[in-house]
Parts: sequence; C-alpha cells; structure tokens
Amino acid sequence: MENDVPPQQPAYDAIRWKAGVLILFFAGAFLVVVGRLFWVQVVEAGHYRDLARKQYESKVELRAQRGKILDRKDRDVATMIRTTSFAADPTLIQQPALIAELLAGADGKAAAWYLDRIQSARNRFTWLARGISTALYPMLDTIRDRGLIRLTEPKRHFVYGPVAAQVVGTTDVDNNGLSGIELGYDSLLRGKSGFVVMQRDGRGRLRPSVNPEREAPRDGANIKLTLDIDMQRVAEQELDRGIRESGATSGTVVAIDPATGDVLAMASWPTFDPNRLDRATSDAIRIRAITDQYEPGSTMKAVTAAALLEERKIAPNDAVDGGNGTAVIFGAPIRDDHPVGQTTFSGAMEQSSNVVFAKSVSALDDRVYYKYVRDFGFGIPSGIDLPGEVRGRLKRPNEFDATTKTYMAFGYQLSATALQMVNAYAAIANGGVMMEPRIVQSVIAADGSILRENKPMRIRRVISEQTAKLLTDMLVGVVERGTGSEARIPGVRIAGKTGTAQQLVDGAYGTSSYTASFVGFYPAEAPRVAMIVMLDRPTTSIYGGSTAAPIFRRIVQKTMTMLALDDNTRTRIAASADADSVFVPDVRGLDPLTADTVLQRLGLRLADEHPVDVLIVKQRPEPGIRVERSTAVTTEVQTSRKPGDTTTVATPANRPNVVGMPLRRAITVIHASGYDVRIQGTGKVISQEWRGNVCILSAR
Amino acid sequence: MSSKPAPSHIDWLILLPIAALLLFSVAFVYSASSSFADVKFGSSEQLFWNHAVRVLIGLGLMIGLSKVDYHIWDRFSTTIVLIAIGFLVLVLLMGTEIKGASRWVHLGPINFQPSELAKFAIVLHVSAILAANKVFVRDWRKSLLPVLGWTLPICGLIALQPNLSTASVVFLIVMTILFLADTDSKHLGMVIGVGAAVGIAYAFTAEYRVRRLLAFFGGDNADEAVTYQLNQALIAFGNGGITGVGPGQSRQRDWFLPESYGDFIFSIVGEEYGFLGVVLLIGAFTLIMWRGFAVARKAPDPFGRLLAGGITTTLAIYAFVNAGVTCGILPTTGLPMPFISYGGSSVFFSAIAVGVLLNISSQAGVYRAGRKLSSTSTTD
Repeated sequence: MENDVPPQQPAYDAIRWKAGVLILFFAGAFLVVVGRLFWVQVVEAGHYRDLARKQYESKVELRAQRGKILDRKDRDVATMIRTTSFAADPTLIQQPALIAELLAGADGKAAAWYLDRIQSARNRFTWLARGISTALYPMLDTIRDRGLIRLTEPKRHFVYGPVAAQVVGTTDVDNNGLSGIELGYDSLLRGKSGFVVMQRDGRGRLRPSVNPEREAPRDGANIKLTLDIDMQRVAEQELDRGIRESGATSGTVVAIDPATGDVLAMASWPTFDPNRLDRATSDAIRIRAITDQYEPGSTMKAVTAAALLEERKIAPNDAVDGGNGTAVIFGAPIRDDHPVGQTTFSGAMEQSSNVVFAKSVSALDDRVYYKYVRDFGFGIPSGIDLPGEVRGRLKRPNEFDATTKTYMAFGYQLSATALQMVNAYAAIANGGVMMEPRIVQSVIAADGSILRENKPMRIRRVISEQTAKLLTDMLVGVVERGTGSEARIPGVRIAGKTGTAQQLVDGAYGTSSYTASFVGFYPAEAPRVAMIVMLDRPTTSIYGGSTAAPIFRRIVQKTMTMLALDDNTRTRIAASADADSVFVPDVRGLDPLTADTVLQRLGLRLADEHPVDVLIVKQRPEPGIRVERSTAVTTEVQTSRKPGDTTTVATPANRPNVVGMPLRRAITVIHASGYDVRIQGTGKVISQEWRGNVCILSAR
Repeated sequence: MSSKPAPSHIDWLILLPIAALLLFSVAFVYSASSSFADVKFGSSEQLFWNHAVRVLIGLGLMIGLSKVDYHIWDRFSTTIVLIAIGFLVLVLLMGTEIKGASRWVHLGPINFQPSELAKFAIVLHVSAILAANKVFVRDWRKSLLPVLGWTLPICGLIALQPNLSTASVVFLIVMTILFLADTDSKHLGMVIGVGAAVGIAYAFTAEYRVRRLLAFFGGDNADEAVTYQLNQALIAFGNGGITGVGPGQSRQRDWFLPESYGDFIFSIVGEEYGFLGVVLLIGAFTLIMWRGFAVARKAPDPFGRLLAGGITTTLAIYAFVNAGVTCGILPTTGLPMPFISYGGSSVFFSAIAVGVLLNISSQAGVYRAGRKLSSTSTTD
C-alpha cells in the first residue's frame, strides 16, 4: 500500500461525475448570461434604443437667411453675402508662410502677423481672419493644408457702404441688429431657423442620414424703406462738403415728402462705413435727426407766424416796427442781427426780426400759442419707426414764465429734433395737414408676399389751407429777398427759413457756439420735398443763411432729376445748377491753401501765389458777389504773427478792413496782421476804429 | 502511446461549431473594426485581412494538430512551460507597453502575448504532473505542491505585467483541473481560499483595478472610461434588440464603443444579430463545452482526461467571463472571447488547444467509429 501501485487504480473515475458538475456549472453560467441578455435586449431594449438614438442623432441648426433692406426703388441696401472665416490648427499646418502671405493680401494685416499667430498658437483652433469674401480672393480657395480650417459664414453686406449707415443700422458678427432699422426690425429680418437631424459618430463627426427629420428655416422678411438712396447719397455728399467748408462739428439733413411723410433722405455727419464697424465711433452711429435736440432759433418763426395768421392777429402786409434791432419786452432785451425799422410782417420774416416776433406773439394767449406749437409736433415724438427718438422739450403753459412765450416766438426755451422741425414745415407745405413721418414703406416676406404695408398717415390739420398759403408766400420771400438768399435757385420758388441759434453752454448763451440751420420746401406752388439742413457749431460763419442754405440749394440742384417734378421746374433747376455764375465765398482769414480749395470747389481760383504761413486779409471781388465761374480772386495776405510784435511798423496801408465779418473771423484776421484787438458787442462787425496798433471792433 | 482504444474519428460537434465561430468571426471583426481601421490605417479592411489570415492559419493548426497524438505533449510539457516562463520574464524586461501594461513581446515580425502561451502551457503541464502522480494525488506533497510550484510563479509573472484578470483565470483553471483530478477537497478549498484572498488583496494595490471594480459596483469614484465602455456595450446590445440591426449595420463601432473589435466584440454581435444571434453564439459555446467535458470523461487515460478537461475549462471560462463582462454581470477585465475577438495570440493558442482536444476526442471513442468501422481500422 505504501510503495506500490494499488491494484484497483482509480484512473480518475471521479472525473465522470465531476465533469458533469462542471457541465452543469457552465451551462448555468451561460444561462445567466442569456438571461441578462434577454433583459437588456428584449425587456429593456426600448430604453437602450432611446439612448442610442440620442447619441447617434445631432440636431443641426439650419440658419435662416437675414432679410434684405431695400430703398424705395427696390435697390438692395443691406444684403447677405457668403464669406469664409479662417482658423489654424497649428499642429497640422504645413505651409504657414504661404497662408500668411495670402491672408495678408485679403484681410489687410501684415503677413508677419499671421505667421506669428500661427506659430505662437497654443489652441488647436485659432482664428486667423473672419468674414472674408472668397469670391473676391479666390486664391484662398486654392490652399491645400489640413491645418487651415475654413468655416463659411453668412455676413451682412452694406451695398452702399456709409450711405444711410445710421438709418439702415449695423449688425454684429452673428448678424444680430445693433442699431437703426437692423435693430428696430431685427425680429422680422432675422426669420426663424430650422434644423436637420444628422447622424454622428463617437468622435462627433456628422454625416447626413437617408431620410432626415428636417424643418426648413424660414428666411427673414425684406424691409423696404422710403429712402431714396440716390438722394441720400447727394445729401450726405453735400452735408460733408458743407461741414468741411463751415468748420462745423456735426450736422444732419432730413428730406421728407410733405404729402406722405416719406423720409427721402436722412443724413448724419460724422458718419461711418457699417462694413467696417470696428472703425466706427459711437458718435457716428447716432441718427442725429431724431436723437439730438437743439434750440431751433429763427426757424421757429414760421410756427409763430402760423399761429398769428391762423388766429388773425396779424396779416402778412400789416405794418410792424422792428425797433431798429433792439427792444426790451417784459424785461427781456431782444436784439437783431439784421436790424429793421418800420416794415411789414412779411418783411420782418424775411429779415428774421426777433423784435417783431417777440412783440407780435404777445397778442396770443399762452395756451393758444402752446396749442399751435404742440400741434406742429413739438414736444411729441414724431412717431417715426426708428429706435432712439427723443421727444424734445416743450414747456406747458403752466410752466411759462414772463419771458417764455417771447423767447419761444423766435426759437428759444424749447428744443426740438431736426425731424420735428422739418415735419412742421412739411405740414405747411402740405396745406396745413401734418403727416406722420415714415421710414419703412412695407415689410415683404421672403416669398414675396407683403406682410405689412405702412400707409401714409395723417396726424392732424394744424392750420387752414389759406394760412398755409399765406405762410408759404412769406417763406418764399425769405429766400427771394431775405436771409435765405443763398438757397435761391433762379426760376424755382423755394420757401424756407434760416436759423442761427446760440447754444446754451454751461447754462448761459455764449457767443462761440451756434446751431445754424435752413429748413424749407420746394417747389412752393406744389411742394414735393421738405428739407432741413442743420449744422452744429459752424466756425467760418455762424449763420444758417450762409452755411446751411447753400447746402440746401446744392442738394436741390443735384436731386431735382430724381423727383417727379414737372418738366418746366426740372429744366429751370437744371439750368441753375449749370449756371455759369457763382457767389464769391468769403476766404478772408483762411490760409491760401484752404482758400484755394474752397474756391476751386466753386469753380473759382486764387489769382496770386502766396507762401504757406500767411493768412488772407483782403479779397477782391468781395464776398457774396455773383461772378462767372473760373474768375480769379485776388487776395492780400499778412504773415501770421503775434500781437504786439514791434519788428514791423504797422502802417495804414496794411490795416485790414473787417467790417461785415463775423466777429471771430475778424479777430483772427486782425491778429494775423499783427494788431491787437478790443471788442464791443457780439455778432458781425459793424464798424472798426484804429488807435495805434489796436483795432477797436464794434459788433452786433 | 500505450493502450490505444479502438480508433474513432474526431468529435465533429466540437470542430464544426468552432470552425463556424472562427469563420463568422471574420465577418464580425470586419464589421466591428472597419471604422477604426479606416481612420487608423486608411483602409477599413486592414484588420479584416489580418484576422482572416490568422483564422486560416488557426484552422490549419487546429486540423493539423488534431492528427498529432496528444501524448506527445506529455513529453514536452516541461519544455513548453519553461519556454512560457522565459517569455513571461522577457515581457517584463522588454515588453511593449500598451495602456499601462506590458503584455506583448516582439519576435521579429511576430508579436504575441506570452500569457496566452503560458495559459496553454500550464494546462498541459499540470495535467501531465497530475497524470504521472495519479496514485498520490491525495498526497498534497506529491500533487498539490508541484502543481502550485509551477502555477504560482506563472500567475505571479502574469499579475506583474500587470494583468490580474488573466492571472486569476489561469489560477481558476488550474484549480478546476485539481478538482477534476480528485485532489483532497480540504486542501483544494484551502488553496482556493488563500488564492482568492491574495487576489483580492492584489486587486486593491492598483488604483485602476479598484476603479474598475467600483465601476461595476456603482461607486462614486468609478472609472469613467470603464463605465462609458460598459454603457456603450449595453447600448449596442439593447439597440440590437431581438433580431439585431443587421450584418454590417453596427453604429456602435463608429467610435462609440472602444475595443469594439477586441474584448467587446460580443456586444457588436449582439447589436448586429440581436438576441437571437447571441443566443446562437452562446449555444455554440455550450455545445463545445458539453462535448469537451464529454471527451474528458471518456478519454483513454488520466493525462487525456485532465488535458481535455483543462482545455474545455479554459474555453468555457474565457467565453463566460468575456460575455459576462460585456453584458455587465462581471467587472471589466481584459479577456478576449475565444475564436471571436480580433487578436493573433488568442486565435493561435485557442486553435492549438482545440487541435489537441480534437485529437483526444478521436481517441476517446466519443464517436466510436461504429461497429462497422472497427473491423476496417485495425491497421493503426
């Protein structure tokens, strides 16, 4: 037993039953697996199918196309274009130098900038350039580099660049409206995005499925404006030119159709290009015609006259006393720039006599006068469909003090927007009926159906047709014979009024800041356009008559062919624009280079050659005289030097004559000639007197 | 070698299901690997061709070895196990590290996993030891001690890779062979108990193993990658439903399910062929398992019995653990599904083992070549 093989060797017979145990064990184990799989694949299958669907499917947004903005003649003003944005994956990029070079050509930065950005990138997705139109730079499509990531993105494109930039408005990189119509009508322009269900894999790569669940996007609606982009462009060009010539800090032009309230042009300066929003200042984005209020000054006299005429307190031909330019009314000293004595009410309007209007308005009860001012739209939002409109400031009768009505009669103690003022004149032009100004004509769905039509809306009758007629004749007289003569176009009856308002600076009316404006309508017999030109703080001349009125005239001349005017009127305007004669501008006080630029723009030229560091002190022909084009203007200059400089002896021969000049320019000229100045009064120089090297100026 | 039983042919009920599994695995691997191979190698067929070639070689090895008398392995078992230990040492010294573990060894153009060789070698050698000492099997010094003397170093070397799951499974297989070999159940129980304790203790020495276990038991610090992989496997099964999404229609292989063509290929089968498909597959393994143990019962000598039992146990444990892991009833381990998963070492050593099993079956008279045949087959 202990050493040898036992006789009956077991030969592992036990394996027979033990193998059976194992068979049962493993069969049981497999059965557990099958049971578990039954649970997962049959009982709980729905749950896992949902999980599967959730991770296989990806809802991809289908962006709606933003609607267009059109002008009144259906020209595209703002549209969408396809652009490509470029990003770099620095780990895969192979030709950084080539990419940098081509992007520099299209995007405008130096090639080194892109190269540096690619090479210093840590992120596997680093923006290089966004929103580039590859239609313009097809070279960019030829780059074959796995490290250059392209994303096509739709981008807002403003077809006319800066034209109507403030009104049309701006959008951000994601095409959300930021200002103007783009903001005000954002929800309509935007449309509604749809989606498509794509299949994705575990890495997030998408591929289209066979019958995808899909909801088509609804493209945004198109907005048709009342603006005439041609007229808008002319208004902007002329405003720009006028501002440069007058040295104003800002300005606005609004033109509306008096019969419908359609805004035909609405220009603001300074301006910007909405395609390059990064370069725009916030100052340039404002729609100044509705966001800026100012004390209107003399343009308000038409409203005062309307109230007086309608209430039959006065008639255009009634005799009035201008007090030779000064009066004290209810303790308020009133002074006129163009003093008048005995004249008619029309004459007082033509010469813009503050004295006459201050006196006459006392015939009206506070409430009655207030009602007219209010009915003309002051102190009330005009209702125009643009974001950001202010209502202006109009005192209620119970807030009037002794002088309120007196000052309001010629445009102080209230403030208004340029749009409110031009709409008041439009009411006069429209036979006394005021229309609500509108900027959006209609909203057109992407499929062409009209979603909304803004019909011209009558607000109220303000004055009778008879009064409107009388007032129109008075305003025609202003242009024909009075302060508005710079707006005159021979053969065309233009009704208008100048305004020169002192600005409140630190609570006091100073003599350095003025608002110069001209507002009117034409042709007077059947007005088609009412327009205001407003300049803030002009420096070469403070007067609306000499700064704003010429802008008005030039816009009329250049836009007449765009209007549905009768042939006769059109011909006459055209003739005036091509006329060979121009008014000689006042170039005294300017340096020769600037003077030459001013003259050349009018078709004139400087007769003499001068060094650069001198100022013009005398000119011939005199300013304001009509001469033929290409006339040479002879000038005398003085070397600019400090007052009291005794190295040159002042002689009567080089003493400049500054009578008639605005005070500030007169001072400049006399200083430039090397003399000292003493001043009395403000306004225009009415006389000068010499005491040695000191010039004493009297101004009014 | 010695007393040859009446000659019979191999057990077709083992060969046919395995051949079927191997051939189907080509289709499975093709579908499951196409997305990965497409991105990784630029050709969706890359892994398919690798696998197809290996399956053909594997089938050849299997059929070839079924003709080789299994007693030859008795003689070479010590050599083979020493070679296996050599490779296990080699892989620790200079193996290629993949995902934090050195499991591969490179021999010129051939890369293989020494643990697969070791698994086969230890089954062979333990069977040989126990068969040689069949009389003293109840004497622990003459059976248990030498068996553990070979097994523990091998399990230890595998665990050091680290590859605890393979080490544990190898240990379990040896324990099963000891069970079949009539070892004293008290001794066996003690060894299993100590082994389990060591295994559990070892499991907690590495953070990833703890997190895998936590993932299985739903802990808060669960390994997200493991939880993710298991969830994706379940989604594959569940989305397959009863009839499956159809051959080649898997979506989970599209980068949702990691290792979709390797250890987790079973869930891709479940996705494409549904519950019916996986039941058939499990059925095939059940059939193989049953026939394998039948061979173990009827093998002509102790070596054949233990070897057949060990090989069958190996296949059954691997199939069960892999299926259990993919459907979430066992903690995640890195074991392939025999005959199905992509991987050369697994295919080759499984094929070799089955070849041996088939030869035993041919001598076990499972299919006694019938009374008709016995007269004609005396010349062997």
